[in-house]
Amino acid sequence: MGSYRIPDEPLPGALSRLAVNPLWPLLGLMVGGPWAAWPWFLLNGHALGSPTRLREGLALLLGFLGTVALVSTILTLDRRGVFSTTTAQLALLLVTLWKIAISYYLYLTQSRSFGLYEYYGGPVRNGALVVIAVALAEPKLLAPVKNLFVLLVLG
Amino acid sequence: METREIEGWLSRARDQMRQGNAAAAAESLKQALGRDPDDAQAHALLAFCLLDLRRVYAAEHEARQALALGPDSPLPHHALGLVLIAQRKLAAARQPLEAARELDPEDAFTLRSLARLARLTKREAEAKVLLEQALQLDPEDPDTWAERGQMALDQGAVAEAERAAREALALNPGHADGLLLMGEIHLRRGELELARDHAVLVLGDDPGSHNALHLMAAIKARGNPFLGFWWRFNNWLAELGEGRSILVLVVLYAAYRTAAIVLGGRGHSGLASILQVAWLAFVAYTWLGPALFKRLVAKEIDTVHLHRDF
Repeated sequence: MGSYRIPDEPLPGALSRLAVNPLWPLLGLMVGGPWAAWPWFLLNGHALGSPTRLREGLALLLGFLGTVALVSTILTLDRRGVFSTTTAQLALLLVTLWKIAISYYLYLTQSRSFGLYEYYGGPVRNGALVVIAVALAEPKLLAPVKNLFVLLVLG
Repeated sequence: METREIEGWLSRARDQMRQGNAAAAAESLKQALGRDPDDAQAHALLAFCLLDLRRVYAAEHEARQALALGPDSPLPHHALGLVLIAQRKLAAARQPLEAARELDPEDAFTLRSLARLARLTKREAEAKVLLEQALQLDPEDPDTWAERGQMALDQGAVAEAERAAREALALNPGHADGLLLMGEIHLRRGELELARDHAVLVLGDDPGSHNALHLMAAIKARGNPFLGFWWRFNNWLAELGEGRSILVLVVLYAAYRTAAIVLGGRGHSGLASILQVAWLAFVAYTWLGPALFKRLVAKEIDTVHLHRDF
């Protein structure tokens, strides 16, 4: 006779050996950017078997679309000469804040699943090496990108 | 055979809940529900356990499941009311709690929950009446005494709180809420050692007790202002809830960056640099704070000896 499964309990799958504390993808955002953090959050949600992974996926989609919309608007306004140096910096700050808000949301949502995943003895990897790799790779990966729009969306 | 087995798991879960071991009770209830997923009582009891474990999302699911399966029993209504209180949906919590009272007007536990709701909505006079009614129904219920003491302490009536705590502990010397209330009273009076002893007594029975760890942390915060600030900030954020805490953190960062950009743009690069250093120090502090704090509390918990029946 099987035991009942409470709906917030993670259901780890084949990827569970890749599960990390969601703090690491959040750090990935800080040292790299959404190009590193957001796919990592997505992967981690699946690795943890997070019951909220669909919601996390939707948040990521919203995050990406919101970033594209913000960057497009700011670049269009900049081409029309609306911004001074200071106001341009402040406008770009909005993009950073948007990325941080989405990442905090993902971090907090995934933290709950992670707590239960750990409680039930799921294997956890240390994400420090990935964060270091992201920090080292970031300048090399983004250096060849000349398109400002792509840089602002991914960086 | 199956029914007897389910009853066995349910009875075991109730005992574990009485001992304050919600995690073990949840496991027993999972076993019962594995045999009969349509048992409304088991779903409702599981909702109470999950609330104790701060798993509010799952507790709500279980309470609603219980309510769908057994709408004529007071327990599912009661469980849903407590879930809504935990979610800070205080206006919505009243209806299921009143429904539970209607189905069983003699239940002191329901009256106590209604009193808690009244306290949270600043209706202290109503809360007092409800607690009096609960005590009339069951004068030997230490939970109600502890709740009454907590209410007195919140109102600053320390002596009255102590009387209630002593009543609770006279009825059950190991009563966790009574011990924690007494610990809080000692903390309020600055008697840190006595406060710590009470927290340790509760942790001896339940090392995962959130409230005991909270008291232990409060004692540490009082004794160490450097870490105390982090603890209070963190507590404040937790009380705000997920959405608002994200907003606060983002606004803090936005304020810092905006100030740095504006100062830099107006030629005050020195001030902008000072601000950046201050921000970095704050970030480092929030990174180191939790680790140091946890280590300090863990050191205290190392001295805890588990109760032999745990």
